Amino acid sequence: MMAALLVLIPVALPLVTAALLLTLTGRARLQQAASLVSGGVLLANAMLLCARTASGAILVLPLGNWSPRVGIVWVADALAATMLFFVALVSYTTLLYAAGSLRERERRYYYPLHQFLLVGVGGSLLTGDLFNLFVFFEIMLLASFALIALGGRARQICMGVPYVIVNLVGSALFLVAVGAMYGVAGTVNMAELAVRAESAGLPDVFWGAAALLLTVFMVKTALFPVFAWLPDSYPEASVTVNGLFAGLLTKVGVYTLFRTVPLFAGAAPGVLQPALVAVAATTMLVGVLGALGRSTIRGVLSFHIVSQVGYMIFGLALFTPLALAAGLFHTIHNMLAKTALIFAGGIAERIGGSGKLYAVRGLARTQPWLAAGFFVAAMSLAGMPPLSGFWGKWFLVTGGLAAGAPVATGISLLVGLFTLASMLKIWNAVFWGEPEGQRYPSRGRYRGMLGATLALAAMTVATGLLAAPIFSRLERVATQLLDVTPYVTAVRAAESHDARAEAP
Amino acid sequence: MNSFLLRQVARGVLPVAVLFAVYLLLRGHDAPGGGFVAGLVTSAAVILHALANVAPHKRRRRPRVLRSVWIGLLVAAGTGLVAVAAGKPFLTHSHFDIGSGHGALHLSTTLLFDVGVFLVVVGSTITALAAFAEEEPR
Amino acid sequence: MIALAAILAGILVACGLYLMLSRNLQRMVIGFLLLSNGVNLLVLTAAGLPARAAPPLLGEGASGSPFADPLAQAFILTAIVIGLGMAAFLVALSTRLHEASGRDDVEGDDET
Repeated sequence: MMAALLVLIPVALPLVTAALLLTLTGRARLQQAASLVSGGVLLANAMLLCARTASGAILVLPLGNWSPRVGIVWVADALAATMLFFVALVSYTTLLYAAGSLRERERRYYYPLHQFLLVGVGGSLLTGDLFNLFVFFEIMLLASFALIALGGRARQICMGVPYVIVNLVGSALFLVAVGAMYGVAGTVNMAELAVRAESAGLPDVFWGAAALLLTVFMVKTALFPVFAWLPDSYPEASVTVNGLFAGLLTKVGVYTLFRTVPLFAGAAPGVLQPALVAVAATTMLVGVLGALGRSTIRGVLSFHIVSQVGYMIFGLALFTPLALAAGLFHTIHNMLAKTALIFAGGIAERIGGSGKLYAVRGLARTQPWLAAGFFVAAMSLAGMPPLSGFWGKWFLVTGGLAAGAPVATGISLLVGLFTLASMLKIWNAVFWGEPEGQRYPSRGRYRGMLGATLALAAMTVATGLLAAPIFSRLERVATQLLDVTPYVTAVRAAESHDARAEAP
Repeated sequence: MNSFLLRQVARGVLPVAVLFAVYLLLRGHDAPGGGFVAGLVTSAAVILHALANVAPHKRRRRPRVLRSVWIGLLVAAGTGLVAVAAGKPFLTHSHFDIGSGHGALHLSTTLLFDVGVFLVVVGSTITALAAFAEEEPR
Repeated sequence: MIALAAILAGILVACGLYLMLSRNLQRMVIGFLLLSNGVNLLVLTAAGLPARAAPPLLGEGASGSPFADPLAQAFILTAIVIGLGMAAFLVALSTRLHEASGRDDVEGDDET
């Protein structure tokens, strides 16, 4: 009962909250307050879930009491619980930031859409079968489509269209892959599929479908050949939405890769690992070079998301517990640091009235707290000790060298230098120098926004200082991920647990 | 659209369509039908009626059916949560028989869930179509 | 039957993708509808189309006759609903763009 409720809340609560928020349309303050209450419950729930799964326990909830082979099943293991916690954290700070940042038109529908996005994210993290992953991806996408076009400006829509189209085609391919897998293997439950994949004897169609699935997840994660939808559309969304997306969306893609790749990796063709390493290394490099060429604050930061995703997948591609844990650590660090940076950039944009580099200068003198928040998050992203980004890279480099991938490891170090360069580019253009172009410098107006930014920056510091305990937990998570057996047994056990397997 | 024929057809279609929707809703659990189809049939009839009978300049005010979306969402989620309160997994449905023998009425909580779905579909479809209908032709 | 359905799905997907690559938003909507129908047909076909199969409505006196796979149909039903939502969003997007700029095509744009 208790366990079932813990697994249910991350999806059901945002759904009910969204329904309640729709009753309050037009009353933004009440909507924000209600969202914060709901967000607090989500946060507490995620902490409880983390505590319950810390020992390696896996909570399984078969919806409607159907057998996991044919029905819908939600699974919460240590990885899902950890991700849920940081998702709730980013979501909560975004809600704090939203009040000051949203414009009149955006405020009307932002909060319900935020909740619908959380439904999609929570469902994608918890679901135990591929078809429901598709469904929750679609919920997440539809909410994100609406959020990106929230301002309703022509330019916003024009730049959002590639995002919409690429992701729609991606979803169509997702469905093709799921249908083909179902046709061949007779199930879409991930645990069952893992068993079928191990037992061999599957026709090549299965592996074709698996490759298609991998491609689709690469699109959602914005990895190298298929990232182009991200850098143009994200900066056009409003700052709040941009920050939320940076913290959540691509990271859900990363999560699905961490979830699915180990399930099939044991039996997969041998090219998988070198291909993933190559993709990850290219993504890092292309992302950081693209970011150097951008000329707006959020343009640079958004292109950087691509580069950072490369690091996370690099950790996955190495397939050792150490590297996997490093990839997860980097994911967590990035969710916090990147959102903090975009929020800080948003305030600078508001003060200068434009997002262009050099439009506003000298913020370090007039807005010391904003500058401090940006500086901490930027240095963390660039990998300066003792911040979280340093540890993420440190673990990755040691993991990479131990796993025998010196070239990709070298690239990751080189990319770190470029990252530092583009962070300094923003710093020099916006925060350094004589104050100039600060058209709306009133400090009080940005208090809520600044608070959220500083809170996130403080969390990256905390993650850096607590790196050792966090990392040791993540190493256990990674070990659990690589050894598929407990996951499979837990999901299968849910069947014998309930007598009524088939519906009347 | 000010057409005599359309008005007459719409007037005839509305009650039949609503009755058919109720039929679809009720048989939904054991036979083809259900809340989703019923909702679509209802909203199609309502939209046809609005197109035929309401002058374009009066269509500017959006119909206030959006509330049926959140009521429906709460009803559907609520039927799932009742099972949780009873200690069963989310969305487990219960079945009852009223009376016995041949004339027994078979009921289940899936009907309530379907009503929720029906409300969501009617609310969202009519809202979306009305938003397009209020557009002046250019 | 399966070959026919597969070819039809292929044609639908090809036409849908071609239209979605256009810059005109209305073409994109039509393209998306074709694409999603093609994909749904493909899922139905992949799950098997037994000859003369009954619909999966097994009453009290279910016989051993072949019937279509209900799970695949449930997948498609869900996908159709999602497709409906997406199509409504795309239409809304094109209306909004027309309102905001008087055009219904996406203009090519270079670096911001």
